[in-house]
Amino acid sequence: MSAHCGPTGAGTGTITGGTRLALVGSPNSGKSTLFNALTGLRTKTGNYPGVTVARYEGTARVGKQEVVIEDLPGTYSLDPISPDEQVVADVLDPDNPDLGTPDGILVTLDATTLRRSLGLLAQVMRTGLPICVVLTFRDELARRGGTLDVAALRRALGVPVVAVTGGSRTDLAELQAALPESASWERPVLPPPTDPAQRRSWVESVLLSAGYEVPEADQRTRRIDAVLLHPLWGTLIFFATMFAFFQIIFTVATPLQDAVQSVFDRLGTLVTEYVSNPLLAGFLGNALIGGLGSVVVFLPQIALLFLMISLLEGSGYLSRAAFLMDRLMARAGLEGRAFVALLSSLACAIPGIMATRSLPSAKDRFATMMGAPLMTCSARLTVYVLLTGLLVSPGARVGPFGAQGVVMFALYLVGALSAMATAWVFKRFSSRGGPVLPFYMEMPSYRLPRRRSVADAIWSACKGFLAKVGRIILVVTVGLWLLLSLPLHSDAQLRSAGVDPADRTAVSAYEVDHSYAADIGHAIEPVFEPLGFDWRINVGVLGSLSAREVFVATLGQVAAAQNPDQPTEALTQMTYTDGPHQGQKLFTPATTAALLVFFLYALQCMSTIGVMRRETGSWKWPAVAFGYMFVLAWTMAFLTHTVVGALT
Amino acid sequence: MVSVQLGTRRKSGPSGPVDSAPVDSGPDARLSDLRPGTSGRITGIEESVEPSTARRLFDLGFAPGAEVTVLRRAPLGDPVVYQVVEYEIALRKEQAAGIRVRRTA
Amino acid sequence: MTTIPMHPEPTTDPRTVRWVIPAGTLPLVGPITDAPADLGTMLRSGPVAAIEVETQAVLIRLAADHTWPTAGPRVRDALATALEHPHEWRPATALTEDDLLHAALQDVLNGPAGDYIRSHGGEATIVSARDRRAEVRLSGTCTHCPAADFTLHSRLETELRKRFPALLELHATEQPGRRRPGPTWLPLRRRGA
Repeated sequence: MSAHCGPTGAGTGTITGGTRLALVGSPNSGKSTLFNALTGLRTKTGNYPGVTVARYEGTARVGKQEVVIEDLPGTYSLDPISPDEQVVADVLDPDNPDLGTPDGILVTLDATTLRRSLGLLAQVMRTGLPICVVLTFRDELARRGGTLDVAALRRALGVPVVAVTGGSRTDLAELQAALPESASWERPVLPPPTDPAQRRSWVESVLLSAGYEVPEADQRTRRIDAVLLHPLWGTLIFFATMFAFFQIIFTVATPLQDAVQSVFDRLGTLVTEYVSNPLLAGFLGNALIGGLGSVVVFLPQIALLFLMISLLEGSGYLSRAAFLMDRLMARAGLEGRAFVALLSSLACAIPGIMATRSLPSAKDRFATMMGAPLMTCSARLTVYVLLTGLLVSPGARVGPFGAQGVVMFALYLVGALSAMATAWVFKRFSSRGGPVLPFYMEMPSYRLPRRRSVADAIWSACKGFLAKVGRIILVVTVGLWLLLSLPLHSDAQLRSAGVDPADRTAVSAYEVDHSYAADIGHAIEPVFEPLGFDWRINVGVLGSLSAREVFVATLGQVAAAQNPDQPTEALTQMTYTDGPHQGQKLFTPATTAALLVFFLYALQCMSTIGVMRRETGSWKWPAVAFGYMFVLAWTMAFLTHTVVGALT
Repeated sequence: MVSVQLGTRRKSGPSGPVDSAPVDSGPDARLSDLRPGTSGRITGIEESVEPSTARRLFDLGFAPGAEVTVLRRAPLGDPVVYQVVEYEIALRKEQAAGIRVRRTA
Repeated sequence: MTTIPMHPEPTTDPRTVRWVIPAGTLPLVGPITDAPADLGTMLRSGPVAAIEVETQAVLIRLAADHTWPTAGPRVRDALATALEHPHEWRPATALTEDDLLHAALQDVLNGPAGDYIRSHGGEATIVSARDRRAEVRLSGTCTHCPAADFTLHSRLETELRKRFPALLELHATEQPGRRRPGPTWLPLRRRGA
């Protein structure tokens, strides 16, 4: 076996130094669990040069040594049929100059599907790189009455084999000790054959030597599936599960989010109380703490989502849910696994986009990511509540239903249909280049999710979100705050404008009215004029680019400046201050409806843009999403304004 | 234990698609035609199937000689769960139609 | 066409590789003077220095100027073909079926089952091997334990049958003068050999 001679640790945006190992395995082989268990909190994401496939790297500490582990996308074969699998093949190819060749490869093999998994191992062994096999789910093999002699397997494969049972620390310790020694890992005398028939003979022989026997079927799984995949009961249980899933993200998260919000609000108040310089107080209170708060407030939802996804995934139900939904999702050109991402987006697009990681094909992932922000998230809900209140009086009814509820339902429905349509369009558009990927989905045995791997998954999702997305949002929030607060106005200027410098509300209203943001609001008036928006709505829309809820706050601030006692009343009475419609009511049904539709389609959420950047590894996709959603929002809002204007 | 049934034909090349011609004559069915509860032995992959897809089906265990059992259909009729080489996998009708089988039970 | 399962395992000698094959594939054991097709060609003139057949493996030693990474693929192809013609292999010494049974039993006692006996301070020796019947004598501490009898005998029997599928009976005696004197006969079913 000739040693590899490729450069090590030279990949773009990778952690350098020390031993670098690549983690390879088929989906459901316990690869991610192992990655999280080995690297814990020390992970880093990036992207591969040239392709938008997320690259996950982590550091495992062994004594004083550091071993970098790269978690490659799950694959069943090294003959790539998707960009993700191409990445696996490229990283493992010692002759590929663009990516640093790893010093060794960890291959996870599910002991219950060894006959299939050895095919992948045979391909990996042909790279000539040092290999260590990590055998998973041996406890499950034993439970099902199967047998496997690990020592004999090791002898037959000619590479180290370490059996790791769940989160067992002693098993992990054995593996960890072996990590830095990749150069001295035992190498096979001869790589497995490439000819398919010879390869199968090799697999059979290895399994025969290792005394491998696995019972025909997992009877427990069969019995559970008889219910969970039953045409009637299975469907009912599915809808009940998804209802509970959505309810938990939506309702259980709300009080937690409120708590987080109130903590940050209190911090902001404290700052205003104790910092005398109004500019500094504004910066600390509004920009820094407010910006931080707008990031942290998503943590409960992300934690809950990943708790439930890892429970559903770890137990094996996620594959069943995707199986039940596949036919429906196929209409949008997607597959069943995209359903969970879209459902999560009903709570918030951020966890929804993060949930697209479970999709095996990059094309599906992007199509779903492009559609996900159109699902009605909880941030839109606050805007919808405000605007629906302006549009429809609370007493109005449509048949037996309250008119407000009907409008809300319509908004949810249109959002969901638009998301599916968008995904379909993107899928069609992006599929023109290459062949259509075949659909296949392993149905893993039902397993009890391990507490440790669930905790690891939640932690790494939250940490990744805070670290990467937090930075982006903070920068944008600070920038937006600067636009809204500058230039500064002296007391003399205020007095000359007829504003009492002691009246905080009046001052802030004046400041907003004469800020750079207001200038921008005026400047972009021609863009939004056809939709009926005036400069104040424009400022609100501009402010809502950071987060949709800001719109409510901005409008509330403007209204409170005019009528502090009854802001809602003030909004309804608001009139155009200049232009051809001067003196007319601002929130006509046409404008309100246009605004609703605009919010339905526009991507006004820095967190979503930030998480898209993180998940796709480039600014291209967030830019595409922002662009298409803005055009769509403007067009649909214009149509709405015209139609509703004509009807009323 | 000794004589293990290992496929029926050698492949054309190291990474070429799985050869699809059946070894001996007899009525072949498409995997998608099999009803839940029935089994078949794979005889080959249709020539119309994209080579990369054929290769992937082979890597997933849908190799000539392998025994496949149809477990259950999704409530909407598609996809279908199959058991092949000791594990369970769902395929859409489109993929299953490209796999030729001989009914065994 | 059925391809016979086989895979290589290293030995202490880097030039020798142990190709594991199912027992019963070849009707012979011991050094080989000639093998069918390309394997024979390689043995006579080329890179293969020596071939020896065990009950579950073929040991192939390369000539001094050849290495496994380079010569390996050709040897593998040649061996796969040669295993399809088991009756064209020529052993250095003519072997009877009794010799095969003896070799298989020796192989079992040298392997993990023998290790197990030795690890318990016991010893197993071959008394006879003829007409598809074999007899071993067990001695040492393991015979004190009556519960060990069945597991040990059935394990030896299973291991032996793997290597010599035509086995009719395995007869195990214990060394006289111990707690349970006399032979223990095991009812051995004949599976489809």
